[in-house]
Amino acid sequence: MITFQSRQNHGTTVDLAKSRSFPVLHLVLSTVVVWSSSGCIQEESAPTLSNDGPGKSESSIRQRKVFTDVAKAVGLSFVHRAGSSQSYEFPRSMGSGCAWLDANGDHRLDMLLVNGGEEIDIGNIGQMASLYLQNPDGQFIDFSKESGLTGTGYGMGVAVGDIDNDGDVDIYLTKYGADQLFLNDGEGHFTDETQESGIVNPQWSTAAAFTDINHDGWLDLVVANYVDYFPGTFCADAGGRQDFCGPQDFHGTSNRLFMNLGSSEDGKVRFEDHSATSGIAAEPGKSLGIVCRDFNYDGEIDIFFANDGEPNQLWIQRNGTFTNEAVIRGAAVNRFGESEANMGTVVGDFCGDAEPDLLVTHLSGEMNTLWQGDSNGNFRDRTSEFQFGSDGLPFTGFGIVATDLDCDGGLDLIVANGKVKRDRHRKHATDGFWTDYAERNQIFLRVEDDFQELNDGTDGFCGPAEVSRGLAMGDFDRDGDFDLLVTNAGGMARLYRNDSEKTGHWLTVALQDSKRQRTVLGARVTVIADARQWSAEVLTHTSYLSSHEPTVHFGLGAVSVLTSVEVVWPDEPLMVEVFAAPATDQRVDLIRGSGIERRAASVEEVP
Amino acid sequence: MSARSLFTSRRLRFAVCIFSVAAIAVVATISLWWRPGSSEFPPEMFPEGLSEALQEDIALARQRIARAPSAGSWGALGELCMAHELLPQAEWCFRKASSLAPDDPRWIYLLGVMAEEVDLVQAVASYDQVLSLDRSVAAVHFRRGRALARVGRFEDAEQALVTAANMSEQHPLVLKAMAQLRIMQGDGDAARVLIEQAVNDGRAGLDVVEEAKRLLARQPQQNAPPTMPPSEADSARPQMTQMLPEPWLDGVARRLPRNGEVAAQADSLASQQHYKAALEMYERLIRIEDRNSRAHNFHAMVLMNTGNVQQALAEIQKVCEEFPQDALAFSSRGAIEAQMGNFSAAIESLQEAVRLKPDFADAHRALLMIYQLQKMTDQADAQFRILLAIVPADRELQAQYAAFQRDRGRSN
Repeated sequence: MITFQSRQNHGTTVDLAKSRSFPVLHLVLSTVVVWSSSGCIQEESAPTLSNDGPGKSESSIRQRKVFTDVAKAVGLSFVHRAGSSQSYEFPRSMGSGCAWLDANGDHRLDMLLVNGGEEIDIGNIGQMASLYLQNPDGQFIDFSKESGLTGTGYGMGVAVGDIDNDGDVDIYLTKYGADQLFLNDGEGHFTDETQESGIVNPQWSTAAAFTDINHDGWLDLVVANYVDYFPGTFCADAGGRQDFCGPQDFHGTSNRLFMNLGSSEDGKVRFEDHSATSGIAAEPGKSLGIVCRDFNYDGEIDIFFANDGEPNQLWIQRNGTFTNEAVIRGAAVNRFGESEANMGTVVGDFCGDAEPDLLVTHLSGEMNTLWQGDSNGNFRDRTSEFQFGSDGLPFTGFGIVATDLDCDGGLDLIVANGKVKRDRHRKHATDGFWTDYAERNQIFLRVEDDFQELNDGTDGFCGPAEVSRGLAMGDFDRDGDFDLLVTNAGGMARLYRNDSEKTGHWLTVALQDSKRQRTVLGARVTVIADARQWSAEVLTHTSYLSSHEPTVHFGLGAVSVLTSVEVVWPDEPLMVEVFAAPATDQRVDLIRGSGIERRAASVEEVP
Repeated sequence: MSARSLFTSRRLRFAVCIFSVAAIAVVATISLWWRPGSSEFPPEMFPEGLSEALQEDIALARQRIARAPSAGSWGALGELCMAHELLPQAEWCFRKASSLAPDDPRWIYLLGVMAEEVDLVQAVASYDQVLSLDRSVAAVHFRRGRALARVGRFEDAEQALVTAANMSEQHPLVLKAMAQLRIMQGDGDAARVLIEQAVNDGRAGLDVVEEAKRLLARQPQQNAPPTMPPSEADSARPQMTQMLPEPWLDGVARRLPRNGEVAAQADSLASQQHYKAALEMYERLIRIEDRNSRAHNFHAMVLMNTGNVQQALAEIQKVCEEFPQDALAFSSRGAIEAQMGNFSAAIESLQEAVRLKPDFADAHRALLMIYQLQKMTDQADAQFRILLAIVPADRELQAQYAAFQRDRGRSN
């Protein structure tokens, strides 16, 4: 017989089997035991896999209003054509770029957005880019049909510049397919002059830049070429599912340099291919980003190519011949000696030592690398010392820009993110082809000696998770800060108006060269106050496949009084033109030749 | 006997007790054997479209869990997921395994390895936890040191790497990482010594040699130039340096081969003229991915190289029909037709190849060769120009064109 003891009788042994309450107690006990044995009391719930992806949770990131998406409000309705949603052709994953430009000479910024195509077909004919002209009321109208920007191939990037010195900006479109050069009639109507120009680039090109390589006053053309892609190549992920190929699956190709021979008597522009004679075609690469500037401060323009999965190239010019010195100058690989997936580029003083540094965006699993520059043109990887390195690790960065968002005197960083392969760290999506590749963008605010990630809300730049690629800066509303134009692979383009609160003073400088009737790309502007100075170069071709407004913006912090502004013009690198100090908190146009003084430049002043 | 008296009888109460105990025991046994919700995954746990072989392996692993849920069986499924880059699923399995066997460092280590890609702080924390359980694996110290270096904790990184070096007989990967830290500390001489030691180690692959050269190139040569091994010796090195021994990664290493790896193996065998083995490898690749036209292409080309020209042509013809946008297929067909002496057919195939891919340098070269053989000089001249536009820095091609133009001038 089983005896149960009850404490209710304070230790007295009671034969519960004889108790009247025993049957009820027994029933209850049995029920509890059976219920618990059957697992109804769950020890652990079934797995719920995160669909948010890795990286900091939004709640842990500092919240602050910076940008507002106003695309719809201003009439921007561009959707990037990226071909069939069932296709995994490589160019689809690389997206296309965008540009800010004054296409019709009305001194208002217009937008150009490069389109991909319906199919990955070199013979595919279509609207290669959409052009939106800005009206006086700030609205944009779609001028694409009238623009003449049609052609064949799959559109990638854009370079903007006045190549015939007639006072209006012309366009070069890079492609998977034959590139195109379009000349502007001054009113936003473009004519394809590729054949007449002598430019032949049959390979898959990505970034492009107009720059005056030989200081002859005519803009030359540098083109980054990517990989020798074979359409139809089948690539799969580790689970056997088809996915986009990567650069490691193909050979690299050579980059190009086309020298502008100047306009002929018939008004036509002519270019000559100097890729081989200059030396830059000697080493193939897989280039996605370009920076053209005088890296070693000898007065000559050099060229940096960001290579995807391979060492970068830094071609140093000496009298028209280029030598790749990326390795010995420390800009080829990261501090561990490893090649990375180098994509978008930006130049600025990020280390606070008044020397321009170089920052390049990378794949997830790699940090966006910051190379600190010195006055000799050498670089040192200092990524590990900044928080944005770790914060960017889970993301794949493409377009990148730097601007002083709050005008406190420190450059802030803005990165457009989007994966190129399915996100392995996230539960796979079932709602839409691009969802597996989408991720949010990032803003990093300069705070003392580091950068702090910022979240500007659901309708801000960091709000939506998309497959972002191109990123271009331009002050379209002329309120003294840079706004952002963003392209998304297979998705809507975004226009983010800068609504950040200015905590300090600022100055925007636009340059004009009345002799050549064009803005001057590559000029260096230095704004001087009593205790400080700020420098920036007119580099419109950085970021990814995109082109910025050709102005420079300075956040001045508490400084409200300037002493002067100095400009080193790109074709006279050894001269400095000094302009009278403007008032702060405005945009000024500095016209070449109207300065108060011209003097020889010191070594430090040479751009 | 009344119902009340029936229930209250001692014998009856005794019988009820026995019955209850027996019922409880039966229910408990059943529920221990089958626990609904603990080995079943929600349907959305695994994505659609995984290869059949992987799906089978996953099903087997799940059955093992259902039969005998344990840290080992959960971990095995996690390893399978990790090997095939189903990382959220792997993470869940490893956490489950770790909860069942908290003193087993394996699962925490694997979580750390996965975290390295996205959260270095978490990775370091995982490795710290592993080391609290087992300090005997050099790879843990190395990975921890590398992660610490990447987040700027250089002193901690150095300590970890020194430990790893001592435990791994000065493994070249560890020495390279230490050299990088020395460079950062401004001690170029010490860095140089470490780099030389790394490069001269027989375990070092070409990757270490290349990266070491780049690190060294930045250092001022204060003393004698580095005694790097001659470049001829590099050809004997493996492409990649083998990582420090990682016994806990063995399960992850046992995974289905990726198509790229199989393709690389096949290409390597073909280039070494091990044609039989290459054919088998391409056939294996085709079985993995029937849509892989490249595999069909190269299979046909290897057939041609082994003398089976007709068979090669038949195969490549099928590829052209099945993949009409595949420039490589048409180029391969042209190469086979040229081999057979059918130059007009070869020209047609190659022209289709360059129509599909205008920058197809090899196809243009093949066309150039045929035009020159056939004395079609205008066409040859056009091909030279096209090729020089594609590969402007090709000096040999430039020289050939110069010679071609001279010969043409003489004959005119």
